Amino acid sequence: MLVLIIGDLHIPYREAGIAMKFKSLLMPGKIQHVLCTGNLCSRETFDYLKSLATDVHVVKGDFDDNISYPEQKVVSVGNFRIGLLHGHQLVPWGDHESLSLVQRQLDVDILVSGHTHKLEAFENEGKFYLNPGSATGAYSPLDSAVIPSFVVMDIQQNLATAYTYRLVNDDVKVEKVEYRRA
Amino acid sequence: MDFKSLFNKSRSMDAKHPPTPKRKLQRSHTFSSGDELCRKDVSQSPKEMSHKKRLSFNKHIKSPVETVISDEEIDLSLLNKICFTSGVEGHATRSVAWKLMLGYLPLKKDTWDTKLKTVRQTYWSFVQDLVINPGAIQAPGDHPLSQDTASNWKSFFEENKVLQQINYDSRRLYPDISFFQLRTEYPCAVEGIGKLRERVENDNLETLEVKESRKGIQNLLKQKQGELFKSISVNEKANEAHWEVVERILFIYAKINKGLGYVQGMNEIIGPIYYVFGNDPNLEWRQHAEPDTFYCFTNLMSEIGDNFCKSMDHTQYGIQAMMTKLMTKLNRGDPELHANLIEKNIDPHYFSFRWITLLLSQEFFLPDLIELWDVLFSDEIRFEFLYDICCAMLIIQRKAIIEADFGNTIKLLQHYPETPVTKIAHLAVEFRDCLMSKRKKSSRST
Amino acid sequence: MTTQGEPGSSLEDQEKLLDDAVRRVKRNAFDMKRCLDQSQVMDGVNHAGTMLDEMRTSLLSPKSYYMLYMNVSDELMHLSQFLVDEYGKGNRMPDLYELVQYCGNIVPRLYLLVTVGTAYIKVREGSRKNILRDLVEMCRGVQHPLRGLFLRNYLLQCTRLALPDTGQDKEQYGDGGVEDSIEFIHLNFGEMNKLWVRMQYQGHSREKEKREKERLELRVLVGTNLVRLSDLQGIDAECYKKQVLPGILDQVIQCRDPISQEYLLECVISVFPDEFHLQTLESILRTCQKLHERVAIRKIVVSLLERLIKFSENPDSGGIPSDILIFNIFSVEVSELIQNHKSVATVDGLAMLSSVLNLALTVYPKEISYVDQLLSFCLKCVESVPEADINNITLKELLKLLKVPIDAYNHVLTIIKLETYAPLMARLGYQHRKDLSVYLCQNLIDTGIEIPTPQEAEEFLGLIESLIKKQSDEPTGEIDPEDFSEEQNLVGQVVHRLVSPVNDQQYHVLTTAKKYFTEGGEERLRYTLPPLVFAAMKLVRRYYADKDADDKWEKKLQHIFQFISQIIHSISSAGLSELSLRLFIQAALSADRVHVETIAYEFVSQAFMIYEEEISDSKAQMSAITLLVGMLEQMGSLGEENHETLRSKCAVTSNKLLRKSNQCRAVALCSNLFWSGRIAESNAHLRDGQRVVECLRKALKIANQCMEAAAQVQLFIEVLNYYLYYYEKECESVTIQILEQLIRKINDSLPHLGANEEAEQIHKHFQLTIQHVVHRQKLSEGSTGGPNYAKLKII
Repeated sequence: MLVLIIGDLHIPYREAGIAMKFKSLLMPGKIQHVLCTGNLCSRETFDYLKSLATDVHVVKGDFDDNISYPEQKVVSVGNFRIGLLHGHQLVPWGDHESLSLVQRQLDVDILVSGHTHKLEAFENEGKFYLNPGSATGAYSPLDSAVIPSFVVMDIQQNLATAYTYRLVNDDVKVEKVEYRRA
Repeated sequence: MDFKSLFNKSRSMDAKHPPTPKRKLQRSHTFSSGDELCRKDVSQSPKEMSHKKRLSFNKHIKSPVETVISDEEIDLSLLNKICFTSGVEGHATRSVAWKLMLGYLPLKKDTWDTKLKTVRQTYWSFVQDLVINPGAIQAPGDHPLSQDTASNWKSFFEENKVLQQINYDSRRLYPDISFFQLRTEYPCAVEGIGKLRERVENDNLETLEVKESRKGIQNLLKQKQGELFKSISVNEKANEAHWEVVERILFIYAKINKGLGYVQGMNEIIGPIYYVFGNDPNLEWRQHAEPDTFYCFTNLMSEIGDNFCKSMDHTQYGIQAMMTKLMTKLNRGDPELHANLIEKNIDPHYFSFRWITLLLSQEFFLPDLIELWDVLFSDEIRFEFLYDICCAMLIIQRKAIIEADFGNTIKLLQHYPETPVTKIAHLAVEFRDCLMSKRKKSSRST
Repeated sequence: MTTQGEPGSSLEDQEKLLDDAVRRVKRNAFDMKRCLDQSQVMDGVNHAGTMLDEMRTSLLSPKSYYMLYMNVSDELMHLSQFLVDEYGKGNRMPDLYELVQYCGNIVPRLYLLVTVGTAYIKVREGSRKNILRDLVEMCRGVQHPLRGLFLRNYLLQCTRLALPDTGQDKEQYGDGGVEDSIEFIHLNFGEMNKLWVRMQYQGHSREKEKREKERLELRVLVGTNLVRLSDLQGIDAECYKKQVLPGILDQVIQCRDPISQEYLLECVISVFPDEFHLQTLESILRTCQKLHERVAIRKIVVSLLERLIKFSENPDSGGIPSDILIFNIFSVEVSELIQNHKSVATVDGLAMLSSVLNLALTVYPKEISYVDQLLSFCLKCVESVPEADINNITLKELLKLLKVPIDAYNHVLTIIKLETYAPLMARLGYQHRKDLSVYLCQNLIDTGIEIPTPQEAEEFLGLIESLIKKQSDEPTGEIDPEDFSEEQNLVGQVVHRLVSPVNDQQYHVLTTAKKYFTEGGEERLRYTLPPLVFAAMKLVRRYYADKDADDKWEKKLQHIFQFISQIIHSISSAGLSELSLRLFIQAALSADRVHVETIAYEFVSQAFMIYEEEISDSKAQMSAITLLVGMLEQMGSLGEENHETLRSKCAVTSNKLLRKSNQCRAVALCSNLFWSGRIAESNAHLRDGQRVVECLRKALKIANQCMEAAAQVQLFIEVLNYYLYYYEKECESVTIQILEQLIRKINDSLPHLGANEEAEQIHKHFQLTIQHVVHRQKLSEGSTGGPNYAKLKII
């Protein structure tokens, strides 16, 4: 089962849109679910995600004014429980130990967060942490070299494979990180 | 088991249209002692079973078909003859008889074990090799969104297009009986291929949202729709339903037969076969229902596959020729009825396309259909008798057809009224014999 | 009953009449073939004559007459073939051409004459040139339109392979040159066209429509002449220009019949090659001026233009020769048409100009002046018409025309360069203007082009003004909010395409945009201004990166921050307090990263002011304080004094939240400020364990005040996790005793929760926390460094 993990698009506040190189990869009919870390910033951006898969889950980013998005969410994908939050609610922002506090609170196998605009995929104490970065490479005051990125996760029984997509100098770079559930 | 209840239904139907005394006797016999026997069979190994069978001889008299198939070398033509004239009783018998008639089982019994072992293994290796699971293949550089023609993922998505249709058609197989929705005792044992249906079905994920209560407690709460969903999805996810087995067989068939591929309607052909094999009271057979169905279906398709092939439609083997044959037969047997249909401009395509391509599977309840297929499969010149049956179906309704206008005729033939299959089969035999004597007469006169 | 001379009216009549006639044809043809088989030539010809009597009928409709003709001409093939074969056997029949002329009726006589004449040509009996001239002249004898048309069609059919052409061997084919063929076809064409036009004036005037329909059915007969001409190999462009086309155009003009004119011109355009058209553009376009007012001139001109566009796009065609000033020709001639021809309405003119524009853009993609010239001509066109006469269809056509250069150039900077574009766009109505603006913006976004100068930004924003400002011609009434936000978001996206590579210029670009957007009214600025804030922050970063090359960078940064501050204040004035608070936080971080402490501090204090004055909802307060704490934790430019003020402010504000649970969580969150918070002087984290523990103790105290048992335990567990967090970071003020005490407290409270889902989750949270501790204990067992868990006793 393929899950697109994407977020911090900030259209139109910070960027004009997703790069063509990414758009041509993200064709409908492949992805079954979308988990979005928030900061879509417009309905059109949500509609775009909806065009990729009918099942779209969004949590509220600090620049989303859509009140129907929840702050945190837990979804079950196959054998995995996945927690989803934007991440601006944690202090310090993007801090690994703070993330593990949330992991324990939500009792999840995988915790997905955003906000830092920095792609991350790592395992800590048997749990998996994912940050898809910003799909548009949106401006962040904390990082002067944001690289556009998103993640596609393939879930099979107890194995989750995260394929990370980054746009480096107009070239798409793909890497993969595996996580096996204990 | 709803199989039984359906049989009860067909029995009560018979009460309305009493069949010939001979059939009635056989049938009641099957249901009383036969069913009892089945129940015992379930808990016993095959050796004990045959022992039991022998013990119960005083209660159970071997039916003619049972007698034939218990021989060490089976006389196929005798088997055909008996099935044709008196049908098959009992699921266990039928399951073996069909496998013989469809050319799957060799006639020499001592070769069964080796043959079955090999081909069943072959089937599972098909499953292992043909179902692409790109996530499990370590192909460096490949990724889900790859546009590379050599990408496993790309092939995977291509495959999903066919699978989508198969999934849809398998899921709604025989919705009026529960069998196909129930879980199978023998789910797919091949590791790492995942569930086919999950590749093409888009369920919404079950979700919980963190909500803070007025008291300040932060809790995960289910969304309403999620909860509703859970009760179904848990049930489905943990197990594999019979329809998913059918889906897998069809998918493997489509992958192996790339020329024909999957065509809608194949699901209706495979359904009854799997139903018979999957309900075999003999567990030794039942547990292999999947590979056995695959081979019997493949054999059957090699006989009737042309009907599904659009490019063949107008050739001498295509469906067009078949429909013409039907109408010619009808014209010889009942010119008046034929003339009536022609006069009303009833294109045989309207009804007989489905009758013939799907071997009447859409026209009858499953248990009735299975009895009808006993006869169809045992036809010496296979599927010649199908046309006689179709003619018989028309003749049984001749009064109604002649009285009806265009619209009502179509309606009648597309929703064929409930009719005991024995009645149809008997009339079809009469019809065939009548045509044969006519031919003899005419050949003598010239 | 139908009267003599009137075609049978009903369908059944026609079918019967045709059937009868065909039957008679077959009978006579049978007799003819029998005689021919027995070499009774004259008898055969006589039967042919009787068969041909059928062609004299007036009872058949054109359609039926055509069916009859097909039968008859098939049968005549036999006769023709017989004659050729006989000659081959050496049986010469020199007097046959004379003999058939004694046939009593003119129609059969001429059919026979054509048959025999063309057979003569094939066997080279007599002069080809003379026979052809003779035949085409003799055919004048039939002046009935329908009969005449088919007779002449027969003539064309029989002579198809017999016409003189260059490259033929005179010995094999006979005498005559291509000019004789041209003359022959011209003559035949002229006569056929006259007959065809005359059909229009037969019968009752009330049957005009039926007549026109019948004529259209027969048009191919006339057009065949033109196809024959185009088949002649001997005609080159020069010959076409001098000899072929003038004759056709004369006929077209002189007949004054709209159906004929329209069809024949379309026919000319489609049957002759593009290379010929390029040589004769003026003649064709001038002919258009002389056409009847019912002719759809627009259709003719557009189809010619479309052919030429395809031609110039075809890589094999070699393109349009540079000596043909195709654009000049079209602009002059089309403008003549618009000005002088009655039937060419403004909308037709615009449609034609649209095609000319397409052509100009394909053939001369670099000549912007051509496009401008055309646009200014369009403008003249539109202006010459009274405003009341310009309908929606015309404007739609104008909208289409204005999209042509956008699609062709795919580069909005080129559009800006077209001087007449904006004035022409201004002629559109409100809705069309907005549609075009959306189209322009979408093009800008999709192409990824950047607008680099203030002038260009000004011009572009001027073009899309209908999206940016309220328009005087805007209709009043309900605006669809979804459409509106979609349009405005598009304008927001445009902001990120206003990018100059030069820092100072970029600043001016942004001020230009700001000028436009501040005129947009409150309902627009929530979409258009935030992008401008972020664009300015991007510029801040650029100035800072280039600071070594620019000694005025600090001053300039101040300007930008002022710019940012002004914009956020405008957003705040529009009542968007939560948005402006968040923007101030971003601005503070932006200033912090370039180490301008005072500005950073100012932005933070602005954020706090908004918090205090405008944010009253407790949920919004909690979420704002969370963000403020997160922000302050990240900052590094503040000196101890300012940092102290702000972290105390955070703590105090947290403590003042309405709900105890929020207070507890916010105070606990503040502990981070004393640990990982940084001050400029030392550029190091504070690591003030004492204050961290104070914060957490305070949080526990607040939790203790919670009335609800479940909430209380949950908060305890959360605070426990904070303690563990700091313990793991080796904060010495967090002791084993504190941890054990809190764990004990939680263990004591848990049993009182009861059994429900809520409690279950709390239990689980605690269980996972303990698991984590056990895990850390195991990890620390062998190692010497790191926090010491050995003494911690759980339970």
